[in-house]
Amino acid sequence: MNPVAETEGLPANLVDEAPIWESTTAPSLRLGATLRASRLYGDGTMYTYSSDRRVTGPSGLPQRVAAPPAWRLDGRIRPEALATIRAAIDDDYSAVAERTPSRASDAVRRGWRGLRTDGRVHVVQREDGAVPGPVTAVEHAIQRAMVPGGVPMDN
Amino acid sequence: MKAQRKAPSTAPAQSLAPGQATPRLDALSPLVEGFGQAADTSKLAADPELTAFLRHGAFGPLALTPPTGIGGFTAQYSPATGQLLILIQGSIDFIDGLALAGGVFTADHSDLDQAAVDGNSIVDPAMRSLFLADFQWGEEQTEWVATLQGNVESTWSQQFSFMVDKPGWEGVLASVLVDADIAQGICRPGDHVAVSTYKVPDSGAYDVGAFVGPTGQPTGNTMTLSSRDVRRSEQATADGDSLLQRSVGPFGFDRAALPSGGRATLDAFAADFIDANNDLTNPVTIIGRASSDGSEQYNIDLGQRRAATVASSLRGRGFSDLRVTTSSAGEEGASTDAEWRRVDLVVGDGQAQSVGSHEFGHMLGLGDHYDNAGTDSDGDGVADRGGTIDGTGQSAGSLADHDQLARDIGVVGGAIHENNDNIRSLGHNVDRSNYATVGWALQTLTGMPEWKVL
Repeated sequence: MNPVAETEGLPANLVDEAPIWESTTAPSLRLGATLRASRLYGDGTMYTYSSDRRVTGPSGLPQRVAAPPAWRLDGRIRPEALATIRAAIDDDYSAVAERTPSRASDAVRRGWRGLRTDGRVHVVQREDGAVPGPVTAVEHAIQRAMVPGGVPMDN
Repeated sequence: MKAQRKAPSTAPAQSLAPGQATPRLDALSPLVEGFGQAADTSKLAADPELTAFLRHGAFGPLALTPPTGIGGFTAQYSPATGQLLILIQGSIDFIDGLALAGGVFTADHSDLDQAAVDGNSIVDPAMRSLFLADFQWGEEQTEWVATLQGNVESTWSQQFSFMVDKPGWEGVLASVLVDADIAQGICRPGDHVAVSTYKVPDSGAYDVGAFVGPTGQPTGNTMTLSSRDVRRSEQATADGDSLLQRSVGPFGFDRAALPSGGRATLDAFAADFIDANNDLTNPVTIIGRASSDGSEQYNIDLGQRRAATVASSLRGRGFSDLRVTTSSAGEEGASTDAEWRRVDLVVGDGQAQSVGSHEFGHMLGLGDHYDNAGTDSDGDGVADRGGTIDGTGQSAGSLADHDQLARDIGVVGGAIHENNDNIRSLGHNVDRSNYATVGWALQTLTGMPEWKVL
């Protein structure tokens, strides 16, 4: 699964910057007809590429409504947590095999790209819904570092 | 590219001697008493082979994975009762979609990362708790499992029977009973599948993609579902979840000309619902509607004119008149709102899918039938054609994984990819090709390739 080439919605200073982490989900019947991706950048910002955007719903809770496909700022993490996240990428995540589809008819459904501290990018991809444990560990490290309310619901 | 067929994988059910019924299968017997049909015993003396067959006792139980390389189950056939029993045994683990610890949301599945990010945008602690509640299981697990098992068993049991296509054997039949035996949180020896079920909001705002992770063996397969996947098709349709229903509108007041945006809707509809083999398995019903302004009769006529406009547009997009039926609902159920000035397009019976039943079809060894709009057969970087349905299907008209097995049981057209109301595609109906792997199991158990689906 290639990195997302689309740059619509990204601020100019991030267009050419390699994200520390990129997670990509292929379109599917259940999860939407447009590819969805999320990125964490070195400045602690988190962007989502999707065909929806977050708004405050009638109940006051966030909900997603259809919108043109674009990158949108959805969250921020505590800068001091970056070291923990990068360590998770360098260690267990980098040991996960890339694995290509086992059958020619299988399409890659999910992919993750982690930027190691040595500058190399480690790619993991899967043709099904299985998520390797070290991938979940990186994603949990990112989620635990998020600043509550760091980006307003309607953004 | 078609997947390479794998050799059948078979293994005796664990801890059981061949030919010995499992306790579970035995327990089913009272439930199916009188079901199926015993063979005509008057021909016993004339055909020693038939005599031996009928006196053989139960064939199996045998743990099987069909040649498609997907799924796993245990099968047993009894000539005495004419019953083919298929057991899918598994465990189920209920997992909260989100956790809230230390003031931050974390997701246990990658598909819910967005939910975690969105939850973390909420500042008010009370609202955070409210958001979390939609991702946490309550006391409904037992009912959820019962509904899943009921859906799977009613979908896959007793849809068609099999006969032996051999002179003198006409009385030998097999009816199919599928038993989904799913235990909460308990893994048992010989489990065919371990199911992980994530709690998500009923609204569908966030979801987890359902899939089966095959091992190529009868046991040890995995399945991921979300809490929405046991909803019955009627419920899903009421919530607007059916992929088999589209609408064109709103039409102008008292107008029947195609509204702006209608052309794009019909282009997408035409791309999604190509009749790949011209067998009319995806008929389209066009229902014209009108708001409650005007008289009832006038609105019936107006609805009919709107339906005729859409039918004409579809004809121009290659839809044969044989596929399309038009009708008018007039102002039935309508208010004066503009949303009622529309035409509904319904493919097949229009009912949405119970995803759990679809996924358990994978456990029976069946692939998907739906058409994947993103398929790029020639690798030129451009999808074969447009359309809005995407996933693990293949290009319309290409052969499904179990095509040859369907032909082996006498389904002349085999099984192809196409968007229609079939359970392997976008709907909930089971056709003869969907019994391809069940038929293969019957042939394998008895060593007789002559079994054909009725």
